[in-house]
Amino acid sequence: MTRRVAALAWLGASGLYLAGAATFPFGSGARPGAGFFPVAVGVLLCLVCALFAVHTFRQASEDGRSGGTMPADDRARVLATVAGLIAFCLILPYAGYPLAAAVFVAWLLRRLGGGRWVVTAVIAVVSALVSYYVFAVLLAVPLPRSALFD
Amino acid sequence: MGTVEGLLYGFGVALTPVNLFACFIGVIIGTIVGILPGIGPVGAMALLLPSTFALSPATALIMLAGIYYGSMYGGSTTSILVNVPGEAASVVTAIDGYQMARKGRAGAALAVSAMGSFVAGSGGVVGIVLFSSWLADLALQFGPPEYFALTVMGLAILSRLSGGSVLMAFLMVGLGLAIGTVGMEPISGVRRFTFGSVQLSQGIELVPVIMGLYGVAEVLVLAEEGVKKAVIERVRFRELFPTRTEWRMSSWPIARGSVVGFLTGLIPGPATVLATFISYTIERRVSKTPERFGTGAIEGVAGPESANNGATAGAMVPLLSLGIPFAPATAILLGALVIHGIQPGPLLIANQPEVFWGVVASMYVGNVLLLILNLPLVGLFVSILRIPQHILSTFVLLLRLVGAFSLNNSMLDVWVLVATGLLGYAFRKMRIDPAPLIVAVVLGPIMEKTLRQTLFMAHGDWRLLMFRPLSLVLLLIGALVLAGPPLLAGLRRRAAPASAAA
Repeated sequence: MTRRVAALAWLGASGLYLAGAATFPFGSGARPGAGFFPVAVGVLLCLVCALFAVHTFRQASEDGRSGGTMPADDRARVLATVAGLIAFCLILPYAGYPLAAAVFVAWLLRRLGGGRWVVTAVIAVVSALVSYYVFAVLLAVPLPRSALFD
Repeated sequence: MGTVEGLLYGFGVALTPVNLFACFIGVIIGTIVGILPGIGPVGAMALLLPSTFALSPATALIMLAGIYYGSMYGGSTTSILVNVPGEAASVVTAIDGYQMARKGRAGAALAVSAMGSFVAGSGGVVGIVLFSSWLADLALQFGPPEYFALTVMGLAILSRLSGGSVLMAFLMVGLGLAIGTVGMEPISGVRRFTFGSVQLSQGIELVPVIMGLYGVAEVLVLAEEGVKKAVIERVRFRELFPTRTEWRMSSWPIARGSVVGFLTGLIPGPATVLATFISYTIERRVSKTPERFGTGAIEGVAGPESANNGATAGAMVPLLSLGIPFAPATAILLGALVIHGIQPGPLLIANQPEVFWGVVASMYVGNVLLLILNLPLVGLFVSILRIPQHILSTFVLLLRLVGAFSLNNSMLDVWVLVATGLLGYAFRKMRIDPAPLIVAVVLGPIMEKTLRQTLFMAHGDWRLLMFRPLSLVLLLIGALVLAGPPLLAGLRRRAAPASAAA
């Protein structure tokens, strides 16, 4: 099922890419324009994705596989990591790096390994501050800062 | 500059204190990266690329190349002692290496593996010098049609050799080429797929894509697997000496592995991984006692470990002589060259001798450093595995996020990292190798430019590609590699019923 959904999603995305590529000036065979190569790539992608979709549907109907399901605990750890990554990206510009990094580290340490809250909090704060010092101070990377650090 | 003069000049560059230190740091990081599952040489090189901006081009490349070949040494250590290959090129080593460790011969396996890596790495330097000069001279005759044909051939071979089906590999190539079209088109200045974003006009950065597809995806896989504790075998220094019989049994596998590895490295594809499998198969075939393989045969360690190091040297040849990377790791090295304003290609040897010869000589220096460091410090390196995996994964992710931001001080790169990380995880679940995607992202713009130049030259006549002998040969090789195996299989299927009927 997942594979079939993926195949259809690929096909849809390829179609969208080709439609977007077709809006750029194509030029001619002798003087190809900015759209020439993207259109060629779009056609290739659509063809490959169509073949992939046919292959996936045919295979699924032949062997009736629905794909293995992931145990709930494993899925929870993966989703927690993804949620941490997305949350980090969302809050970084507003909360600043030190706070976003501390929250991110604390969240992942708790969700992936468990352990005591105090230890987790200490590791999170220290790692956020050390990495901030290394990147923002020593390497002069202009990491976003929260009002607390201004 | 002749070969000997060039090498001497290269050693002069590589042995300056700054470059020696860069080489040392590179091989140490490489070793650690090879030991730890979840980082990988490609992800580590991508992560450290921004930190090389302040260095000279030669120093930056020396450090990054050190990570690449250093990781091959580190990978063998954990394969042998813990049965946990730190990266894919050490999977084969674990088969016999771990069995040797269980029989109390871990020290011998580590020593033979380090010596094999050293021999292959050193021999590879000679190979780079010989092949690069020859290939660079040949490439001076290349025009746009030949370069276009070369990129087509490279992607065709990569599609055939990377793991999984050719259809999936084509999908990856298409996706990589599509990513490469994002941004401002260089000839007419048309903005493609930028959705009004100024940052996207500069295109999608390669580094966050690589870090996402390899690094973030790997951490997600580790998160899925959960906390695992490694059981580590102890090795004493006095145990690090193979017996005379073990040396004798290893010498030919090391020689064969070095040659096979180097030649495999020249071919587009996952050379380091492929080389180990080829070497292992050869050793089992030529052995008079193939039944020992899988139960602790030292040849099964010596051959593949030499092969993966030979392959890292071979993979440098197309990059240094043609300016075309055929693997994700060399794509990062290309990125480093471009960031430092150096045009890779056949003129690199003439125009930037300190980069070419300096990097080549540093590979020899790096292999000596690795040999000196790896054996006495094996216990220390392996103890890194005692760091709990969830702590390591968390820090690796944090470093990747900051590393992606620091490329352009932009959140766009961080989002690209996360998005490609999810994509990479999905690919891993579907058993799709993302290497063709990475190489296509790099080759896409070269392919587009040379294709358009070819069509301009030929007034739209595609047959120009067929009329020029070099481009024709390159295209034919690509077509043969793609169509050859299915054609052969079809012929065999036809022949089988006929012979059965007879």
